[in-house]
Amino acid sequence: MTEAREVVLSVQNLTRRFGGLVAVAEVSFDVLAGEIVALIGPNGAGKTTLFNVVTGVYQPSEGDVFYLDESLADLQPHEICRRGIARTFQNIRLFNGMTVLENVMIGRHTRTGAGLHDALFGLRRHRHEEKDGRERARHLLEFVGLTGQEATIASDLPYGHQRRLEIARALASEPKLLLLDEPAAGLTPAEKTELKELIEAIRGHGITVLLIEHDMKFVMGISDRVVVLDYGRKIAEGIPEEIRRNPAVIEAYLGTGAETGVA
Amino acid sequence: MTAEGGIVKRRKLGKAAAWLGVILFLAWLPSFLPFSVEWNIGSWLDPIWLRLFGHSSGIETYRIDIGLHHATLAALFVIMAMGLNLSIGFAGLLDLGFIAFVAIGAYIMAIELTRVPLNSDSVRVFSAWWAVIPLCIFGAVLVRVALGATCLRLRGDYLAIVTLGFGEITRVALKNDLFGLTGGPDGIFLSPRVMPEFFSDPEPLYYLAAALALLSCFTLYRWKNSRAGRAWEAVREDEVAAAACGINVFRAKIWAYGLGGVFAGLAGALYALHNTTAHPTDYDFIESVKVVVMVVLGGMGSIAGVAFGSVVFILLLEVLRGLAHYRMLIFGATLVALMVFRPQGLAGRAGK
Repeated sequence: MTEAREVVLSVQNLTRRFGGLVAVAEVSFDVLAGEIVALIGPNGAGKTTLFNVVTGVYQPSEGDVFYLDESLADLQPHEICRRGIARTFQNIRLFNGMTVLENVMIGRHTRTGAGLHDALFGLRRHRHEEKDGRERARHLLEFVGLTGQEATIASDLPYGHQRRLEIARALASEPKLLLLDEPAAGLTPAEKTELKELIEAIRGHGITVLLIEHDMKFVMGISDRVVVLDYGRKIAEGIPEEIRRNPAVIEAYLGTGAETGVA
Repeated sequence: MTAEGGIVKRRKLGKAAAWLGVILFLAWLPSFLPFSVEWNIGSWLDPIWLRLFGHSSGIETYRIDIGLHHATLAALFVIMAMGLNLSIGFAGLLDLGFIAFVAIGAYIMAIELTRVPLNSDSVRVFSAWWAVIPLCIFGAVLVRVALGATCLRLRGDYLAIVTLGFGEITRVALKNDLFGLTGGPDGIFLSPRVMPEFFSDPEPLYYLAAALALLSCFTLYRWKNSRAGRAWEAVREDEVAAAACGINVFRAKIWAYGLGGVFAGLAGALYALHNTTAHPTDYDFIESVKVVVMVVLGGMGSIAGVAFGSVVFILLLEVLRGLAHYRMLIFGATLVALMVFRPQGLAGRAGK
C-alpha cells in the first residue's frame, strides 16, 4: 500500500433518508483499484441501501458518490453500469425464464451495440456480436464453473450455481468495480471456499471488489479492508485484524460489554 | 468442433426448409380454397341439447366452409398477433387495447381512399393505395409512442387498465365522428368506386397479407435472438436486474410498445381493404381480447406458436360455425380446457 493507488470509488458524506428513517448517515470511505473491500454491519445497518445508492437505484439525500472522479448522484442505473460498475443482488435476481447463456449475454448489453436493423437484416455487426458474445459468455461460464449448463433455464439451476451465474452476468459487462451483495449467503462451507477462490481470481483480473457479507470468517479471510456500518453510520474502517479487535465493532455485533463485564 | 459445426449447419438447413415449406403452402392455398364439407348428422346433437336446454338445436347438417377470405383474415390476424407478441410476449407489456391501433391504421386508409378527392384537378395527397400504408403505420406508431410515453412507467395490471381504457376511448371517438372524418356509427364504406382496382379479385389481397404475415414472423424471429430481443425479455423478467445490466428499461419498453404499432397500422390498412369498410364495431374490446387470446394460446414470446395459434383461432371459429349459436359455448370451453391443460400455450416454454 506504499504506492498511491487510484481511487475507484469514493463515497463522500453520503446520507440516504426514507421519510424519517435515516438508512445511511454521513458515510465516507474510498475503495482503491485492485482492492477487495468488505462492507459489514448488523442487519439493517444500511449496507444494501448504500449499494443501491452507488448503483443508482436510489439517489443520495445528501453527499455524493464518485466513480473515477465522476459523480454518480444523477445517473440512472443503466448509465452507471455502462461506466463500469456491475453488481449482484442479495436475493438473487436472474432472468428466470431464460437460459444460462442468455443471462450472461444480457450482461454484455453495454458492450454491444447492434440495432434492430442489424438483427433484422442479419448484418455483420449483429452476426459478429452474437458469435463473439456467445464465446465470451462461454468463457465466463467456464470461469465461474458453470460449463455445460449453457442451455439450462436459469431458475432450474441449484442455488449455489445461481449465485455464480449472477456473478458471471455481472462480469459480462466488463466492469472495473464489482459489487457483490452477500455472495456467500446460503452457500455450503465447500461452496464458500470455491467462492473465495473465485473472488480472488476476479481480483486477479484487475477488477476491484466491494462486497457485503455477514459471514465473519469469510470476510476476514478475503478482504484487504473492512468498513463497518451500524445504524447507517460508519463505526470503523481498517484491515481485518484491526476490525476484529475494534471495541466499537464488538459492541455493535455482541452488545455492550459493561453489563456482562466482558469488556 | 466439426461435429458441432455440422449440427449447426443441419439445423440451419432445417429452418430454411421450414420457411420454404410455409411459403409453398401459402402459395398453394388459393388453389385449394374454398374448402367445403357437409355431414348429415340428423338429430345427433339434439338429445344432448334438448336435455340441457329443453329445445331442439335445429342442426341437422354440419357444414364447414372455409374460403380464401378466411385465409386472408387469418394472415391479417397473424400480423396483429406478432405486433402484440412484441409487447406482451417479448417485453411483458400487457396491452388490452391493441385493436385501437389497428383501427387507426384502418381509418387512415379508409379516409384517404374516400375523403381525399379522386379527380385529377384536386390535390391528391397520395397517388396510390400502397403509398397510404406508411401513413397508416406512422399514425399508429405515433399514437402508440405518445400513449407509451405517458403510461409505460405503470406495470402489469395498471398498464392493462390504461390500454383497455384507451382502446374504448378510441372506439367511442371513432363512433362519434372524430374530426368529422370517421363517419360516426356508420363508419366509412369503401364502395367499389373507391376500392383500388388491384383488389377487385380476392387473390392479390390474400397474397399481400400472407407475404406480410410471413415478413412479420420473420422480423420477430430475427429480433428474438438479438441484443434488443434479449433486452426486452430481460425487462419482462426483472426490471431492476435489467437496469443493473445496463439496459435502459424505459427506452426498451417504448421501443417494444411503439414497434407494435408498425404491425397494428399495417394490419389495419389491409383490414380496411379486406372488409371494404372501416366500422367502429370491428374494433370492439372483444377484438383486442381476440388478439390477446391468440398470443396467449400460441405461447407468449414464441413466433411459430403465436402464428399457429392465430390460424387455429380463426379456423376454430369457422369450423364451429356449423354449431350455430352453440359456437361460442364450445369455443369458450375449448379455451378454458387449453388454459387448464397447457397454460404456457401451444408452443410456450414450459416452466414457472
